[in-house]
Amino acid sequence: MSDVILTNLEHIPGKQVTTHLGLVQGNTVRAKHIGRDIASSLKNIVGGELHAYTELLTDSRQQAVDRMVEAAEEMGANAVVNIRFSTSSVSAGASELYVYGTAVIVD
Amino acid sequence: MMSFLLSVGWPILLLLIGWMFGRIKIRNHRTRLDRFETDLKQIRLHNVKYKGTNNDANMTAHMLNASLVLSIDVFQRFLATLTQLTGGEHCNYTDLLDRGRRDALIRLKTQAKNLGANDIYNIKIQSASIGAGKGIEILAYGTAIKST
Repeated sequence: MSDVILTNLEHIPGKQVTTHLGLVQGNTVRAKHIGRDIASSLKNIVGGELHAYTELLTDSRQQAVDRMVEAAEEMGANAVVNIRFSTSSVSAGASELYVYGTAVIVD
Repeated sequence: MMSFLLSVGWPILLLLIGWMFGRIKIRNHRTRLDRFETDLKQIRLHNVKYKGTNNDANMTAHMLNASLVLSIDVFQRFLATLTQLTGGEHCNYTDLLDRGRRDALIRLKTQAKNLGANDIYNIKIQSASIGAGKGIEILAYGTAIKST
């Protein structure tokens, strides 16, 4: 577990932002394997939550966050503020998970 | 005759299965949402930014995010296609997204509860269609503020 503080607020309670280091971002494009796709199609008949997709997107989003944190650490940041997520469909079976924020140094 | 019955029968059978199980699933989902919403009443959600208090030195921030992918059953999708002919509100999708958002917020609240936080600030909710319209993903995120 990284000790970089993450928040989607503009500042961190109880801490002072001393340096702005600029935008950091992480992304990943994922597709699930065919077996799960078929299972989801069957699930689609009765509706409800598609757990395979939920899990996939949660994992992928975590990966995007990890990449962003890595970029922030490289810049020497100890926090990322004002984080935003975005999801987009890039092709029929794949989605892009994108996360961005501002790397800062706080004390 | 037999092949005609088979070719017409399959889609109708699928629609029937979708209609029966879909209804049960939606009812169960609503019941579960109601129960969790009552259980998690004490967690306050704010979609404004955290303004800060005098006690800020004792506060810590934790980024939370929760998402889920929901889909409607084939019967409702069939009805939605019919709605497309006449226009008007897609009630099934309205309901689906409503349940999805409630569920995402409940998951967010559960995470806050596990952390021991009572407030989540700057909540953003967004949805995206995934898997070529197979499902709709609903994402909710925010920052939990907890006093240490």
